[in-house]
Amino acid sequence: MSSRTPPLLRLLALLAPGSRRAAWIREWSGELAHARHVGAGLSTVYLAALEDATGLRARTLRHGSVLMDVRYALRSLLRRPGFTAVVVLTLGLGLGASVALFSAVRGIALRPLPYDDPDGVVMVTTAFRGHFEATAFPASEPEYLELEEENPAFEELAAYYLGESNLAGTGEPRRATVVQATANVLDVLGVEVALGRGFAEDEDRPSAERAAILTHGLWLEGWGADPGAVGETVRIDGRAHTVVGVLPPDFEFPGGEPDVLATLRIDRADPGGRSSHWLEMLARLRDGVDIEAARAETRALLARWEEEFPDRHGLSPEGHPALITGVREAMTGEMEQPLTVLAGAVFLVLLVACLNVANLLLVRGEDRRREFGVRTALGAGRGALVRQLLVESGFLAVAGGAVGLGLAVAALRVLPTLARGTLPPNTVLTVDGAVLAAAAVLVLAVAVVFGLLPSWAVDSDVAGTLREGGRKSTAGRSRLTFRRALVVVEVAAAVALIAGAGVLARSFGQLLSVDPGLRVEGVALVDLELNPASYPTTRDVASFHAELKRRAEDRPEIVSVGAIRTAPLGTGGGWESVAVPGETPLQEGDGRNWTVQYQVVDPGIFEALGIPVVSGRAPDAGDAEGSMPVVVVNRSAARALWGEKDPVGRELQLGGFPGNTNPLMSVVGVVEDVHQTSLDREPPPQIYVPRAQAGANYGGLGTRFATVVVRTRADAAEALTVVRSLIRDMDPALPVASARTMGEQVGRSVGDRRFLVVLMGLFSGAAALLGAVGLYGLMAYVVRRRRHEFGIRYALGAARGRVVGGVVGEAALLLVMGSLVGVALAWLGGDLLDGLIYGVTPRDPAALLAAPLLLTAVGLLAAWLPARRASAVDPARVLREE
Amino acid sequence: MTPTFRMTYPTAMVLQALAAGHRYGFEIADAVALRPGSVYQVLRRLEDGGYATGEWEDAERAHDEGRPPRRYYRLCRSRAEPLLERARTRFPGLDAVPGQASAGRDGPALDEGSA
Repeated sequence: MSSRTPPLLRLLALLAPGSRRAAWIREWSGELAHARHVGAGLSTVYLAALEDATGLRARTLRHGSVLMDVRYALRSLLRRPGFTAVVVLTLGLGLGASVALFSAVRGIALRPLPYDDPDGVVMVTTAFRGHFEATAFPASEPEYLELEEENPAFEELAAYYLGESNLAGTGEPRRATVVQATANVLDVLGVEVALGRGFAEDEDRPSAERAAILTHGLWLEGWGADPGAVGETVRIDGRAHTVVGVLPPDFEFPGGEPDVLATLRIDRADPGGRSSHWLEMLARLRDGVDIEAARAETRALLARWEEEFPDRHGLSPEGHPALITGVREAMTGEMEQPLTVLAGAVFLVLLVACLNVANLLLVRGEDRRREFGVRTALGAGRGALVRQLLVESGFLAVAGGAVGLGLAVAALRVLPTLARGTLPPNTVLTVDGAVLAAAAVLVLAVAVVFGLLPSWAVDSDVAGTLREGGRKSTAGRSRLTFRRALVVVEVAAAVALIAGAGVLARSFGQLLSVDPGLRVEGVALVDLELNPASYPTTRDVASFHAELKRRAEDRPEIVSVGAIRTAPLGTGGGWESVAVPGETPLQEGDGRNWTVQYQVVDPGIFEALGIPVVSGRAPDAGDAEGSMPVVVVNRSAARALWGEKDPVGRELQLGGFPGNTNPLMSVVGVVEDVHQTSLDREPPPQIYVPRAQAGANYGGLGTRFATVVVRTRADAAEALTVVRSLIRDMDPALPVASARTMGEQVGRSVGDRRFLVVLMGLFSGAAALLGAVGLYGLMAYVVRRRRHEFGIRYALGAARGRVVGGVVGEAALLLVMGSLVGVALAWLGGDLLDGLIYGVTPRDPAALLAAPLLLTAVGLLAAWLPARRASAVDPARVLREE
Repeated sequence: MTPTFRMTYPTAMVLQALAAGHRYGFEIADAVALRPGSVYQVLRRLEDGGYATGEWEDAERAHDEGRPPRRYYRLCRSRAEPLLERARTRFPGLDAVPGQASAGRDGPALDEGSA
């Protein structure tokens, strides 16, 4: 007789509950054997066995362990609402910060770009050796054409210029951001239009009709998404352009946020000046060529040119190189370091939060030792108790995750507003599927780790636990040491974070204290561009500004008015090469800087901006068209071009190449430097040419666009209203853009720094608070644990003050230990902040000292509260409990 | 207080079959024309509720037939009687379940194949 269980039955038996499995196998073996004996079908028996096993399992679940654990866990957590709330909020803070950061990294650095094969798209810029700007210089037309024709690494090279123009044809005339680009720009990016067509191949020749492609936003705003927009005419700076297409809604341009693309006309037969650098470039790399290979091939090409054309002003490998950057890095590269710093901060906040929760759960585990002891004595296995703890921590983790997700969603909604100007254009910050999945993983990890942690409190010595009333044990002392270690790590993390935030804050303070070199209060700015249709010549433009100045200065509250091509601390700014007659024109390698910022100004500008004239004079109404060409230079330009010699009376020419027809200008004055680009960059060399005479330079380069600067005795914002109404009176059709005060201009220029400081401040505040909570919790536990001991000591005559002092002293020791580690961490991590700070070192002593002092003060206060309870222990009561 | 036992049609049929003398799960299934799996669900509930007991058939007899013993089920009369009443009240046609034509109360199940 065979008593072997059939393998299939053994498999099915796994479904049956463990406690009934043996009997179940026996029963169904019997049925199977009987069926075989009578010749009945076995499949019926197996199916019935399957149904029976699963039915038994389901009954066990309904009445048994997991559901009971869930109910028990919920009751247990709701019975201690304070504890539960603190844990959930703490977890929520840590998880919320992590989710928000992950979302930001995805939205900023990792999002897919709307280009075909974006890895093959690069930005190409130039630079000048020894030039303090170092990178991201534009190219000249001949330089672009030569690269386009001869660089083997590029399949296509497009050139573009991004600027503000007057746009008409969409209702009210308005200012618009226009990208003028060569016809192949969309091919380089790998973008298809959504409506109409892209630029045709020769559409960027001077003889072709001007064409424009609308962005989706402009099409919606100006044409209400009417497909009939294709074929219509728009006027860009008075010039008629035919709309040939509309871009898709997700279109992004690497160099900015245009409203419209227009054809850029380059006369290939007679291109512009070699040293007039104004074109940005985008390239699509040839198949199989990566960035490194492209860089190598470009270097080789420039070396060949340098050898073949030693006298030609052009690109060269060392002095005037062409730099290639991946389009993703170009669009988001600036954010890499701030994101890394924020990631570090978020990690520290999460760490502190998790350590806090660990501490809280360990305490609770301690408190429940008696409960676990009783349950173990009643037959619950260790596995059942651990399962119970996992269910509880699961609840806490899910609740914390929900709170965190809510915090993250709220933060991401607010962030783009707070970070305006700091985030790359078209950044979308959202909690999507991937972010939710990451959050779920994090929550799961938290649940498992924290579930297992208090199981440490589940002693194997049941009898011992019950005998002691669950109060003290040797194992309990080692747990206390572990908890002290957790608090030390928390303090260290918080100190490191506060130190980092402190360095950034001090740096920001240093930045704000930089003298921009101009007057900030009572100065207002508006942007104007006078289109060629209404103002055909430079003289017309200059007359307009002169008349505006006259009318405005008639008003008693207005002190002075002037206009300038590029106002300080704004964006943009044209770099031009210059030549000093009798000196060597621009050549790389001779150590002298021959490129300057070229400014076109109207009389009164220096007075309006509050820039002092240090020698000679400023341009005035006498510097008109036809009179001697003059120029004013700033200190940096004077030093760069003439060293220590007084430049007044010397001569200067725009453009540093042979055959230059720009007039020789006589230097009539020197003005003080201003921080033109940003407060933390050195003032560039600048030359200022009177608008009335600037028409002769490059046919009027930079004469149409101007920022009008108004200095007022009254409120700058009110002055804006006055100026706008004056301009409207003079020319109602003239769009006035970007009205702002100089204070706002300065504020915007440091906006990204401020944003980082605010975020780091929030994180370090959170870490400090959590650290204090952790310390409070620990000291409260210590006091509770030692109540008995305190009672006896008081009974024996010990002074309460000394006892309390001992408790506070213990907290202070932990704070000191944590602070030392934290300062060491901040020291080691200092390099992370390089490049983000100004005027301080990454290991700024003041910040490194202030951080531990601050946290120690907060921590001692947090420890003081439970320490006071130690002084309230009643020795009589304690002894009665004995 | 004992929770009310849910009186479903299969439960009623199985109760009646047990009362009529059927003992083995597959036999009950045949008698009441229900799936064996459903019958066993009811038998488990009855057993867990204390209304029926499961016992192993005579080991010697099984050994003689060269097979392991089977498990059979009997109603615990005193406890099950009220339940049976409820079943009959709820489902009046229950008495139509054919009885097990077996000899003794304590005897093993009849030979298989007999009606």
